[in-house]
Formats: sequence, structure tokens, C-alpha cells
Amino acid sequence: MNLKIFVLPPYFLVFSMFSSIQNTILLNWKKVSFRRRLLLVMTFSGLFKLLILSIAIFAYLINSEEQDSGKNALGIAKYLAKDRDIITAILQQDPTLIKEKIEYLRTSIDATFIVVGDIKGLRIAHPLDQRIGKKMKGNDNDKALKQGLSYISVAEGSLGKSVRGKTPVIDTQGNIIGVVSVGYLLTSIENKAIHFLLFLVVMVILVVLTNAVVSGFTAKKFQNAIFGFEPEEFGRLYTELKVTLSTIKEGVISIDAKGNLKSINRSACETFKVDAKDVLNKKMSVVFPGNNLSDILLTKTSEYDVELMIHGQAVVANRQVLIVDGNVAGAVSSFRLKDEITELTKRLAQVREYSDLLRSQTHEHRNKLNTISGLIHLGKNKEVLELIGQETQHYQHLIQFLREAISEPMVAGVLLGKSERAKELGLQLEIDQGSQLLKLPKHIRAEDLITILGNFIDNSFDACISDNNNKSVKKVLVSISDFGNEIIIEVEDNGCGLPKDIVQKKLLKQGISSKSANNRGVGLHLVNQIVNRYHGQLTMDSVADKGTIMTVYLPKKHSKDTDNAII
Amino acid sequence: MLSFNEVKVLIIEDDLAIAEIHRRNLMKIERLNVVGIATSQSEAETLLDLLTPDLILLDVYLPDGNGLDILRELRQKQQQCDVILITADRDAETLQTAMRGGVVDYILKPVVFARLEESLNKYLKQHSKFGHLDDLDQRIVDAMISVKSSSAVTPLRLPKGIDAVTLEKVRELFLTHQQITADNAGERIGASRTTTRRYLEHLISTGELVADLNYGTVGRPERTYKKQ
Repeated sequence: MNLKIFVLPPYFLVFSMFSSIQNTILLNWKKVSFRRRLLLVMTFSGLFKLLILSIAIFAYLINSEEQDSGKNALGIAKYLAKDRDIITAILQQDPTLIKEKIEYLRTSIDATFIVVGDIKGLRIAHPLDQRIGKKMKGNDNDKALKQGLSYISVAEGSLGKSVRGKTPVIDTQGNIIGVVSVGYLLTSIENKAIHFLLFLVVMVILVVLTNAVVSGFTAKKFQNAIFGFEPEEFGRLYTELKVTLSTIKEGVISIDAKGNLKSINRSACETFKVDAKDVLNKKMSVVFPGNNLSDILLTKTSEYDVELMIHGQAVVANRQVLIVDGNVAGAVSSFRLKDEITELTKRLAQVREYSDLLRSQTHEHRNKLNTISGLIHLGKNKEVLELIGQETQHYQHLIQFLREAISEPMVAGVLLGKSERAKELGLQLEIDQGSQLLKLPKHIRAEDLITILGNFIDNSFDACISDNNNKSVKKVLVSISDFGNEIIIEVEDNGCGLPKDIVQKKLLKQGISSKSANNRGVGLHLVNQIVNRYHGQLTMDSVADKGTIMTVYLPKKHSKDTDNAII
Repeated sequence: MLSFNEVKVLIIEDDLAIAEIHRRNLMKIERLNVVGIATSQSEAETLLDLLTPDLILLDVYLPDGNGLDILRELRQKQQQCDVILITADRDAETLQTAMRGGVVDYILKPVVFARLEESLNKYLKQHSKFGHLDDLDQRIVDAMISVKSSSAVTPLRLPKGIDAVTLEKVRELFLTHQQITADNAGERIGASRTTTRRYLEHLISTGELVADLNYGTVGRPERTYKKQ
């Protein structure tokens, strides 16, 4: 892979510069792979920056060369202005006096020219003999000849554009008698800088190449981190994830490896009645105490169908650890309100019970009709009426009893449904005639009583069915009492009982694993949770082959911790 | 024909033949006047508004709706009207809704007239009590709402299901026993565990006894009762 990184960039450079520029940059920029794009951007931006830099440096160099040359020229001019020979030569208007001396000086300091002029600006000395005696060019002598100043100027002289140092020549009486001008042609300065420019270009190419290598490498690294996706793809995926999370009914939250809340979807916000902005990036344990999602960061084991109490809401959650490159990167938890699930399960159970009921009733009904027709045939009207009365008698009694003794309609409903079910199973469900359940205290939810009753009764049905001893009557007795300070729910059966080797505590914690195949077996676990939540008690008395008595005691008085208890 | 104490009855029943049988049977009972028969929910709603009956014989199954919906609506509108539910339904939900809707009675189909008659007579008896009295005193209210009264236990009156003789027997047990379980107590007074427990629990509510969960001889917890 490394080899590829170092071989590809030059290829990309060539490729991107020649073939892909016109057809990609404008129209298909987004179709170009991320690596190539990064490469192009890095290369061109590098090139552009270096270009600006080079121009700036070049301009600066030229400027400073001019300044330096000007200063040199002025220094020499000032020195020459004091020279006696020059003063004499000006006064006598005799160029020959200084010609050799000046020419020697000019070549040795590499100046383009040294010109000496008189007060009228006529040349006394000049590198070219034929121009001696003629007027100096450049029109920049006035400051020296009239005001007596020394200065640097840039002007177009007879030899071309040059930078020059000018200074007046003053005789012993203090009169300005002429001017000395030392100059360097600008072209000669530029020639020097051209060499530097070449050097710069070489450097630019080197830098651009380095850029290409680095950008190629970076792009690869970056893309590896985002699983090789292009940025647009990634953006799309991210949006898709957000939308997906907001459309599903499940609440979803995720945390990072440090236990900070990283995402929370709409459903979760609604469930816990929080604003996403208020909780994001805060510690999970602070925002949602009771949710020990952070724990699975340590255990590294995913959990399914865990029941939790968060923000006073009972939820059923699935939680999974996020592993990236073998390291724990966080955890995700999706959950549903338990009530929703309970409601669904309840509906399903009701529908199933109803269809079973219909089947058995139709069968029974036909038999009864048969009997009735027979009796009418025999003219036994009284018997017919009795038979029809019997049909409803048991049930009518039961309803009468339930309506009088049980104030909570849901509890009455369950008892009614279960006794019908018992009939179908060929079992006898008896409700203790002394049972009583008046209006429930506010803190006790009828749903919880139903969970307890339903599970106990179902377990007893199972125990009766799987009992192999031929008992004459397989019986389940239900007794509910709220006479004292506690609501007592007791379900007794004469079924198979529990084998001796099963430990009660373990059973309550895990349920009966043999039933897990039928999606059951969590019943006792649920019951235990409810009992704990209400600070109640649960006892189990079971003898193999004799039967089981399950009893729950729930205090009627409200204890404050009930709400916050973590199930 | 219209007497002061007459009860106007509306029969809501999808089967006209059955409705007619009901009507004829009801005519035999004094003070009952069948003022209408509705065979569908829409018809029932119209007649309820027009006739303002005192009592409805309400069937659950109707071709265009459900008798329970009519019941709910009645309660929402707070119409002064009693309901006897007649249904072939045996599911829990119907019973629950009926209980919530406060029906006078819940009669299963097939209806044996004797049962219906009994229910109607009981209703008429209560109805006339209401009719004659301007002020209700507590005794009458208690008698009418028989079950509900037991929650407001006056020290002298015992709740339903608790009789004084048995209660005394249970009390006597604690003269000889420090603490006792419901099982044990039952054996001694010759009653079932659940019955005995009812008495024991009653004594807890009166403050005479306290209960505790004891880890008894066999190792499993047992609820024991002892004196306060």
C-alpha cells in the first residue's frame, strides 16, 4: 500500500493537470474521487500561494537592489564631489584632467556611469567621450544644482533607465559649480534577480510535488477513517441515519466511549420528555440516572430485552456495544415503553383466547342444540328451560360475583377470561367466594395486579396440565383479599409442583427456562420485579406432585421510593 | 295508563323476534312500560333522545354498531338512564366496559325469563325507593350500594364475608397462641386457609393483629399473625 501512495501522486499530478481539468472541474467536481479532489486542491492552492510568494519576493529583491545601488552611487558621488581634481576640472572646463581617474573608478565599482556636469548641466566627464560637452539627460539635476541637495533618483538617462546618486560640487567659496552623478542601469539589477527567479521555480516544483505526496497520503488516511466513503456519500449516509432514527417508533440513544450522550432520536426525546439540545454531550449517568448503559462499555456484552426504569418510565431495551477496530467506541440502546409492548401482547393474547373460545363454544353449542331438539321432541318443555338456564348459570354466577366483589374491571376481566380458559383446558378455576378487591390505592396499578394474577394462573394451568398423576379434579384456586393492610393475591394448584432441585431465588430471578421456547418463562421474573417495586413480598410453597401455592403481599400504603425504584 | 311510578323501558335488540318476546314478557310485569324497540344503533340513538327511557335492555351486538358504545355515550351525555346489559358475550372486555359503565345487571343470552324477571323486580324495588324518598339516608345508600359499603368500616358493622361468630373464634385463638399461620388457624377453627386468612386480615385492619413474614421450620417463608 505504501508503494502505491508514493507512486500514484506524480501520476495523479500529471493526470489532473492535463486531462481532467476541463471536463471535471466545472461539471463533475463531485464525481471526482475524494483523493483526486484533495490532490487537485492541494496542488493548485500550493502553486498559487508559491506564485504570489515568488512575485512578492522578486519585487522586494528588485526594490532592495535599487535602494542598495542608489546608496552606493550616492556615497561615491559625495566622495567625488569633494575631489580637488574634479573641482579644478569643472572650473577649468577641462575633461582630460579627470577622464582616466573616473573611468578607472567606474570600472572598479562596476557602475554603469559616472558623469560630472557643470553648473549648466553640461557634461565634463562621461563614459562615452563623444557625449562630453553635451547637456545631461534625465532632467533630475535641479535639486543638486539649484538647492544644493544630495539625493537618489531613478530616471531615463542617455544610457537607459538607471538609478543614480547625485550630489552638487561646491568650490572653496561655497558656490555650487556642478554636479556628480553615479548610476547603475536597472537592467543590470534585473539580470541578477533572474537567477534567483530560476531558483524559485525549481523550489516551487519541489514543493508542489511534496504537496501531492502529502495530500495523497492524507486523503487515504482520512478515507480509511470514514470507511472509504466519499464525503458526499458520507453526508448522505449521515442524513439518512438521522432521518431513519427520527422515523422509527423505538427510542434510540447512543453514547461514546466516555459515557457521554452522543445522539438521541425524536422518539426517545418524547418518551423522556427532554430536549435533545439539553442532554447531548452530557454524561449519560447524569442525564438519565438509572440507565446503566455506560456499564456495558466495561462488560463489552450486548444485552437484549432488558427491563429498565428510566425517568420514571418502564422500558424494554436492547443495548449493543460499538466496536471500531477492536476498541470499544461507545454503545447504542434502543428501547420501547414497556406499556406499549404489554398492550400489544395483551391484545394478541386476547385475540388468541377469543378464537379458541369460539371454537370450543361452537362445538358445545351444537351438542346442546342436539339435546334441546331431542327434549322438545319428547315434549319435555320444563327440562328444556332448565337446560338453557344451566347454560348460563355458572357464568352468570361468576359475573355476578365478580361485579360485586372485584371493583377493578381489569382484574375482573382477567379472572373471567382465565376461568373460560380453564374450562377449555378441562381444568377447574375456582375463585374463593370470600375474595374481595375494592378500589385500588392510587399508587397500585391494575396492570401490575394483572401481570401477577395472569402469570400465577398460567403457571398453575401449566402445572396442572403437565401433572401425570391422575387426580380426579385438576384445580386452581384463586383468592384475593384486601381486608387487611395488604392486598393479598394467592393462586393455589394441585398440579405437578416444582422439582426439589430448583432454587426459589434463582427461579424468581430468571423465570422458568424450560418455557423460554414458547416465549415465556419471564413471568415470575416480572412478578418479582413488580413485588419489589411495591416493597411487597412474594412467597412460594411448592411440593413435587402435590401442587404449588404462590402468594403475593402488596402493602396498600404508598412508600415514596416506589416511583424511583429501578427494576 | 300513565302512573306516577311508571318505568319507561326501551329495548335495544337487533333481532326483532327476540325484542318482541322481551316486550311481551315485560308487559306482564306491573309498572313496566315498553315505550320502544330499536334494532340498530342509529335507531336507538334517536329513540333515546325522543323517549328518554328510564331503563334500557341493551344488547351488545347491533348491525351498525355496538351496545357498549351506546352505553359509553349515555354516560358521557350523563343521561339519567339505567341499563341492563343482555349479551351472549363472555369475554373479559365486555364485562370490564359494563362494570365501568355501571350497568344495573348483566344477563347472559340465552335469556331465561325467570332470571330477567328477578333482575327487573330487584330494579323496580330500588327504583321505587328512590322515587319515594327525597332525602336519602346512609343506611339506604349502603343497602343499595351493597359491596362498596364494606370499605367504610364502622367498628360495629362487619364487612361482607366476615361473620361475628367465626371472628370471635379467630380472636380466641390468640388467647392460647403467641403467633399462628393462616393454615394453622384454619385447622383449629375448622375453616379453609383462605377463609381464615380473611378474618385474620380483617383483624389487621382493625388494628388487633400484625402480620410478619417468618422463615419457619421448613426454611420457606410463612406469614404469621400475632397480637399487636
